[in-house]
Amino acid sequence: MIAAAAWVCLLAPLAAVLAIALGGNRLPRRAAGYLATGSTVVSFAAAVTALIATLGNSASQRQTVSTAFGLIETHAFKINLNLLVDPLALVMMLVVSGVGSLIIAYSIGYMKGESEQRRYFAYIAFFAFSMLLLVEAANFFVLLVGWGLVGLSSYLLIGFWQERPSAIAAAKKAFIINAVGDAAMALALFLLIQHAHTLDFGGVFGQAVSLGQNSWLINLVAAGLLVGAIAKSAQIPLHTWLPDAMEGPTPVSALIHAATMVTAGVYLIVRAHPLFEQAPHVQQTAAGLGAATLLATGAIALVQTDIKRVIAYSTMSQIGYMFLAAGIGAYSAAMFHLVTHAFFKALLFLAAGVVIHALGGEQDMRKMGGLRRRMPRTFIAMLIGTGALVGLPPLAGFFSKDAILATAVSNGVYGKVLFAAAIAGVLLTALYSFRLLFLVFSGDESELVKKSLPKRKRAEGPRWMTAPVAVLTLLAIGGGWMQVSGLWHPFSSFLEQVAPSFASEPSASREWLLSAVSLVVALGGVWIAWTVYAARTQQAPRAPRALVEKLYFDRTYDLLFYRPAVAVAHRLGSWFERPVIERSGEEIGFGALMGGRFAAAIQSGLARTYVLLVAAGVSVIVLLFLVLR
Amino acid sequence: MIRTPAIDWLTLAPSLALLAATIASLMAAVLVPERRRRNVSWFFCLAGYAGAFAAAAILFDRSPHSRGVIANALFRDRYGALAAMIVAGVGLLTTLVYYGERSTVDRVGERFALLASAGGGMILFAQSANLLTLFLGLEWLSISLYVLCALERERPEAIEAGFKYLIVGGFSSAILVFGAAFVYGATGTLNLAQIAGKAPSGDLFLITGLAMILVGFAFKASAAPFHTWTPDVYQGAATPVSGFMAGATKAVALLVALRVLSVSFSAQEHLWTSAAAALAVTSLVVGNLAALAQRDLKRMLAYSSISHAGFLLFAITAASSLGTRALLYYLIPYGAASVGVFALAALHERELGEPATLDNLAGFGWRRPLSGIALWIFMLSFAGFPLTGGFVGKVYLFAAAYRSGWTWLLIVGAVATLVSLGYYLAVVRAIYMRPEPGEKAAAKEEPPLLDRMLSTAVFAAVIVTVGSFFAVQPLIDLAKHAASQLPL
Amino acid sequence: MLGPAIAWYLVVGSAIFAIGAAGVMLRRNPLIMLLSLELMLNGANLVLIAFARRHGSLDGQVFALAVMAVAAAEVVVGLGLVVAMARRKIEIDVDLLSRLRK
Repeated sequence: MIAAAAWVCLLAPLAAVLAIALGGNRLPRRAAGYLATGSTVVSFAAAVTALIATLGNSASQRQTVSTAFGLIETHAFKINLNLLVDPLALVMMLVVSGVGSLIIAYSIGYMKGESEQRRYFAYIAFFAFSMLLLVEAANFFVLLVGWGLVGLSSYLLIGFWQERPSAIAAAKKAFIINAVGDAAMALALFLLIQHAHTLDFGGVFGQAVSLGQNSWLINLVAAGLLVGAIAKSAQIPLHTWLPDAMEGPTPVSALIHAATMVTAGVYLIVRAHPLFEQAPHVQQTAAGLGAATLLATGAIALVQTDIKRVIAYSTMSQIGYMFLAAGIGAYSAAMFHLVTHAFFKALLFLAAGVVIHALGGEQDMRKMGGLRRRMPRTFIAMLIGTGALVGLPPLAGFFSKDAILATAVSNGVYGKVLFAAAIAGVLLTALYSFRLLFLVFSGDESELVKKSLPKRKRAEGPRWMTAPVAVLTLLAIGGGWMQVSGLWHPFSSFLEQVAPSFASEPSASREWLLSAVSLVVALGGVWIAWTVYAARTQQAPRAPRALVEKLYFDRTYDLLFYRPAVAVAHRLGSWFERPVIERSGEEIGFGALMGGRFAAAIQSGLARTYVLLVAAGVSVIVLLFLVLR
Repeated sequence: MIRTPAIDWLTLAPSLALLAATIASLMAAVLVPERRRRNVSWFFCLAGYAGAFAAAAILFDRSPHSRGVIANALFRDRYGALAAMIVAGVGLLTTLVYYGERSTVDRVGERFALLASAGGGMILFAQSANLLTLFLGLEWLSISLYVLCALERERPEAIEAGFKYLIVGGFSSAILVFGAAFVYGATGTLNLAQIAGKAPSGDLFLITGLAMILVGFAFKASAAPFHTWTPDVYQGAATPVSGFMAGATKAVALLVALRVLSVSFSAQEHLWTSAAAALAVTSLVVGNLAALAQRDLKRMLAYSSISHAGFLLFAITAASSLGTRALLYYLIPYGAASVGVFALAALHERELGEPATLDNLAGFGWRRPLSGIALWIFMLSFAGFPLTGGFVGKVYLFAAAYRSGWTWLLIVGAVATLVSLGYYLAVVRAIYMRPEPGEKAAAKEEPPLLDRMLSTAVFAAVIVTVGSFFAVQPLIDLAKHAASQLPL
Repeated sequence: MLGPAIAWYLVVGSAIFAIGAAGVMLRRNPLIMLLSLELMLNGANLVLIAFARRHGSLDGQVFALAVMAVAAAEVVVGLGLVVAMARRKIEIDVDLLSRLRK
């Protein structure tokens, strides 16, 4: 039952991909959207079925492994194509298929009129399949396959508008940076094969302690996995691809670059926590990188002018919180924030998408303004999303973010440092997110708005777009109530079997106190944003150059890797390739061709010579055998 | 009462199914009115191959232990059953491709009868357990193929191909019979299993016989220097038939060779492994170099099949269980890709009305994007690129040769693979070239031919070629079960 | 045992085989080539029968019978092709069958 549901959940989107690909032009464009949406809804239904069936089992029996067939088998180890359904996988399955189906339904409206809709929906359904493969994998190999495939579909979707050079460049950048992570992860897996002789989660984690005896080994494995995770989740220093990835269609940004794929790194750390716990330094590095990322990207978000890029930086910053939590061992807090973040970040993107759609593709916030009266429902959705992001009660982000803050402060000196970063991050979050909100929605209507939205025109898009936004708004409001510290915690007790947090639990009173602190900080941020961007009583300070340059990461990489590589390539080209290889290539090719002519010359076309050759061959072999016997 | 041997019908079932299909198609050629003749005899042939495949699959399932049946004339084992499945699979696809082949006269019934008959002979050949049934199976399949090649006797090329094949083939099977006679003389038995150990390992007759039998197999597998018929016959025969020969004939020839050598001549292993290595190197050199110089697509593919005989001979050189597994595995994607690529050549020929060459392939990839991708996949599989079964197969073959200590052979193989890229990628490049203005712009005005049967076959071949990369382990398991029944 | 020793049979059989092989290689008339193929097979038959007598088993004789049947089938195909060539007025000379080359 559970196994069957898991396979249905995994394969439904793949079936949609095949149907769209094979249907080709015979399939109406709209049908492609319906197929993709329908298949993810089927996946969601299957995930819910699996959840209910799993909840029926006792807490210690909630792991189901289903094996399709063996993929690779050698003397030393064996890899199967198998799926694992356990609470952690279920959470991810529900998020991916649930939020995924909402976003894909939204794209039916968003992509309307686009001439290559079929390609779009085939890609995005393929993404859903890959992501489900990633989260349902029961061993590292299948996980890596899914890991690679989500990278591929992300590449395809970022570059969907292939006539835009910037989209192509962004797609390549994303792919290359992700390939760095994939390679590091693959190396870690080779080490695991060599020393653990298995890649099955159960088998590897069972040996985690004995692997931990060799501190070099375990550190290398954990570091490899961590590099994979930070590349996929766009954490410092491998974060530069995500803002550029906003070149893709907005629903893609919502689904892949906010709600699901970029959080895979967090999932990986939580999934592989037994390995990370044996390598505490690596795990603490993860937390540190998370904290650094949430500060740096939060600061950069302050000066961005592109609406989607602000949200993209905000995504990195929020994933930084999740890394921080996973790094100090608060796995359920990390996963909780992952879920609520999926809700409110998808909401923010989709609402931004409504705005962009209405303004004919314009993404520059400076050209927007005063949209509150023209798009009241979108404004409310955006307000709720922003509130949830900042962590205002009773919205979703409040509960999940405070859980992280409270856990951090209860974990020693390092925890206190992290907490300081996190609370500063709260201020930044409030600043940049309300800056966005005020710039877009408050004030007077700008020229652009007046031009693109004539009076009495329905501004908020077709129902296919507004309905998913409405559903996500409800989720952003209520999603946090899954878990209220001190009152109830079904979410963390559900995850407890898979990923028992080792971080010391804060007391409820302390947690409430911290909530109050962070709320004050957040409200302070909102107030500053109000004075600067809405009431405009204060002049906005000039943006520091470092922030505009995105802290020089892109420039550094350009100087460090791109230019030397190009220079070396040019040198090799002029010193080595042209004189040595090309010339010899001519000679080798010529020699081979002459040989070919000779070999073909045996082919006289005369049956008699053929027979002669056979006879000669027989004689030679007989003679050799008689000599050698 | 005459005491007759007990008949194991299941073992016979695959070849009997094809024999029945042969008879039914022939009857249809005579009895069915002309306008439905093609469909009816085609259907019988298809049903025959499908039945043979199913019967072979059942036989595979129900033969966990190898044993001789029907007075020890045939082996009932998984090795033979898997070989039969490969033959039947290739035959099934070929039947689909052959359906749309144009012919000038009304010999459509005969062509399917002969196709089914050749498959039946191959299966009997693959299951044979003594030298007599081996010879009978070999001749059954050869004579069917001689006629099949020359069937369109209005084309002089067809007659020439058929006659050359007959003369050279007859010559080499006479050598095989002579060798069999010597082996019989040395050991006093025709039974493969009993030949081993009956005579001193250095016996003059035995060794001479072994050499001659080896040549018979090498001829059928088109290993150089016994390959000379291959380019002419592949070029002259109807294109789907060439695909069938490349995919199925070579497969059974190598599989039976490996079986005979390992079962009957284990004492002479040092001799035949060296011979196989020599043949492999010759085939790789001749096949690859000559292929580079070809412009005619079918001739190029013929040389490519010669070079593949070289790669496949690695398995015999290795003389190990791993090698057997590698051979059995590799023949699956190789057979599929062979049929597929010849099917595409046939498609192009039918559109153009003239033989496919690298020059007139220009524009094929733009005109028919899906077929172009399929051609890509087949070429990459031949060249041994990842994401195709050809990659895994080659890795396995190389690993088998390496394990058995043939390191220098690997180097030859690697160089040969590198050279082979030259002509495989040339095809890929050719199909994306713009057609020369002077070239006959193939069917530019009229819409491309739609041949459902052919497209189905190509699609199935792509699935097998790519699928064998992703579902390696199940196929390897099949091959492992089959390989474990050889005494290696 | 009456008659000459087995070695003589082998010598004669091998000689017939060799003559046949030479015929295939040297003659240009397809009919003669087919005849020469027959000779090769019959040489093999003689060897088979000689060995069968020596081993006192029937296997070799049965094999020889099978070879005869197969040889007949091969020649039928060959003759059919010769007739087809004659009909298409292709000259009966194997060396002229060399359109397929390169």
